[in-house]
Amino acid sequence: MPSRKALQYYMSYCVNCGVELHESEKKCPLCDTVVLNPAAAFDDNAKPVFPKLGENAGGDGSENRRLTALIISIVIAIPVSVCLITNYGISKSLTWSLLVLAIMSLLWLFVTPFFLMKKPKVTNILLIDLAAVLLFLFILYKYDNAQRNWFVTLAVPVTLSAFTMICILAASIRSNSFSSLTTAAVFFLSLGAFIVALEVITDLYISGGVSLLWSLIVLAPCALLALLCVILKRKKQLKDELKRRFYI
Amino acid sequence: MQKKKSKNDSKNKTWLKLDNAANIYPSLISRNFTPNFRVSLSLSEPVNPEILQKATENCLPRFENFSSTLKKGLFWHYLEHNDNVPVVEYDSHFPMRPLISKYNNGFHFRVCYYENRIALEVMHVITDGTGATYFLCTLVAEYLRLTGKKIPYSGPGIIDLKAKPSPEEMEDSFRKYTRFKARRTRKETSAYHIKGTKLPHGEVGIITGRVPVAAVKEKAKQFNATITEYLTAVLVWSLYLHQKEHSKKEVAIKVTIPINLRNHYPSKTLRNFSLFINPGIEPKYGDWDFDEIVSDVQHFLRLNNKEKFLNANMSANLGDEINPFIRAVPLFLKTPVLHMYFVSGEDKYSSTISNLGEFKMPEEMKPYIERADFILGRPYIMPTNCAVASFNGIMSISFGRSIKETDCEREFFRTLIKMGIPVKIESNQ
Repeated sequence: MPSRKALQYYMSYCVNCGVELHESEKKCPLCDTVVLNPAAAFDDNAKPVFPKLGENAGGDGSENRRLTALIISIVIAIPVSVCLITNYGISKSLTWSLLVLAIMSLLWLFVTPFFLMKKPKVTNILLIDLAAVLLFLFILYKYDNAQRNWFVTLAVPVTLSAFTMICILAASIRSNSFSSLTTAAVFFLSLGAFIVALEVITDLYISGGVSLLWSLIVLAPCALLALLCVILKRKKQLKDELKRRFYI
Repeated sequence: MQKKKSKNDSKNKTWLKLDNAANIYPSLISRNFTPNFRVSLSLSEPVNPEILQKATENCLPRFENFSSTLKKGLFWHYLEHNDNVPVVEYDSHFPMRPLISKYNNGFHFRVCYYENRIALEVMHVITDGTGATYFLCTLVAEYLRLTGKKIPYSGPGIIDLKAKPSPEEMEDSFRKYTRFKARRTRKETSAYHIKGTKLPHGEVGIITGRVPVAAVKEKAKQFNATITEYLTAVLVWSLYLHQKEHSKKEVAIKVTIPINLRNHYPSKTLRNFSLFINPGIEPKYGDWDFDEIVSDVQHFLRLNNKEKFLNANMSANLGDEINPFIRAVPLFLKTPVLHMYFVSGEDKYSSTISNLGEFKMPEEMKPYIERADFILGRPYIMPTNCAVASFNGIMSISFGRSIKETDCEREFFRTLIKMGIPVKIESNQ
C-alpha cells in the first residue's frame, strides 16, 4: 500500500469514459463505473470537492446529532420526572412511576443511539433495541411477581422470533441485489413465519402442546402475497403498468 | 439609481427598482427555489472564517445591490436597503440553497468557505455573472489584504473600496441604452428536454470537468470557432445524441447563451445587464454531424450577437415593462403571469451554457489564487445547465442538474475526450 504522500502521484481514470477522476470519487460521476486503480486503493481520507452531507464547520455534523439526542432526552425526562415526583409526593414511595420510568427508558434506548453513534449501523442499533426490550420485559417480570416463569418461556422466545424477522427484513432492504418486490416477498414470508412461531410459543406456554390454527389463517395469505410479488417481479410489463397506475 | 426618502425616519431607507432582467425572477421564488448561481475562488491556503467575515462587512457598503432585500410593492418588486450584517457560512454538500429573505438575514447572497475556497452564491435578482465576479474578486482582495498581503485597491476585476460608489454602478443599463426604435419578435418553437428522475427539492447535482484552456482553444481553432461557439456546439451535439438514443420524436435542440451587454455598451453597472441568444439545430431536417453543428452555431451567434439586433431585443423586453397598461396591473396579478411567461420561455430551450471567460484580477492577487469556478443553480424547468469559467490556464466546465441521470454530461465530456481534450471530473455525488 503506497503512502499518502505517494498517492498524489497516482491518477485514477474511468475505464468507461476516459476521464480523469478527482481523488475523492469512488465511482465515475458520469457513468457510475467503480474506480479500480491497481496501483493504489481508494483513499477514504481524500477531501471531497464539496463538504460531505450534514458536515458543518465543526466537522462531520456529530455536534448537531448530539444536540438532537440531548433535546430528545430532555423531552423524555419531563414526563418521567413529573411521574416520579407525583408518585413519591403522594405515597412516599416509588411504585407505579417505576413502570413509567422503564417505558420511557425503553423509548430513549430506541431513539437516541441513532443520534449518538458517529456512523449508525443497523446491526448495532438492532442489538441495542433487542437488549433494551429484553431488559424491559425482565423488569416487568420482576415487578409482576408472577407464579409462572413467563419471561423465559414466553417473552424471550417471542422477542427473539421478532428480532430474527426484523433482521431478515433489514438484510433484504439493505441488499443491493434485492428489488422492492423481492423485499416485499421476504416481508410477507417472514411475517407468516413469525406468526406461526408466535402460535407455537404461546401454545407451548399455555397447554404444553402444539396445535396450529389461527397462525395458518395468517400464513396462507402471507404466502400467497409473497408468491404474487415473485410473479409480478417476473412480468416486467405488468410491473410497469402497476408502477404507472399507483404512481404517487 | 432610484433613491427615495420617506418622511418617517424609521423607513428612511434607500431603494432600487429592479432592472428589466430581474423583474421576472421574483415570480419564481418559493421556499424551495430561488434562481441562484455561484462563483468561487480557491486560495493557496485554508480560509480563515473570522477574517472572511470582516472582509465581507468591509465590502458590503460599496455594493448597494448586495446590501439590499427584495420587497413587494403594489405594482412591482423592489430592492430596499438592508441594515443587517450577512454571516459567512460553511459550504454545504448541496450548494445554492434558496436565498429567501427569511433565512438569510434578508440578503440575497451568501458567502461560503470550505478548505481553501471562498464562494459567493447570488440570486439573479441582484446581479448577473459579471457583477458577482466583481463582488467576489473585491471580497477576496480585501480578505488577502486583511491577512497581510499587499493587494492594490484598484485594478482589473475589482472595485475600489476606498472610492465613493458611482451612480453608474447601480444604474439600470437596459433603460439607459435601449432605443425603442425597432422590436424583434421573441417567438420560438418548443425544444427538446431530457427526461429523468427529479432530485428532491433543495438538491442539485453538480459535475465539474477541468480542462486545459489551451487544448480547448486549439480544438476550437480547428473548427474556426471561438471557445464559446465550440463548447455550445459540443453541448448541442450531446443533446442531439441523447435525443437520437432516447426519444422517438425529433424536436428542435436549442441552447440559450447569456450575452454580456457590457461588451457592446460602455456600461459600468454591477446589476443585471445581459441578454440571451438561442442557437440550435432542427433534427427534422436530417442527420447532423458535428462539423455542421459547429458551423451553424458559429454563424447564428455571429449574426445575432450584434448591437443592433440586441438593442431590438432589449426594446421588445423593456417595451412590455414600460407599457402603462401592464404597469398598472397589481403585483398579485402580475406575478402568476410572469411565472407562466418564464415557464413557457424555458420550454423553448433544451439547456443553458454561460461562459464567464477568464477571471480578471490584479496581478498582485494571482499568486494567491489557485482556481476559479462558476456554477449555475438548480434549473427550474430545464433538466441541466452548464457554466464555464477559466483561470490560470484551466477551464472549469460545471453542470448543474435537477435530475438523477447524467446522460448529457457524460456525452459532453466523452465528446471532449474523443477530440483529444483531457478532462478531470469532480462532483458532489
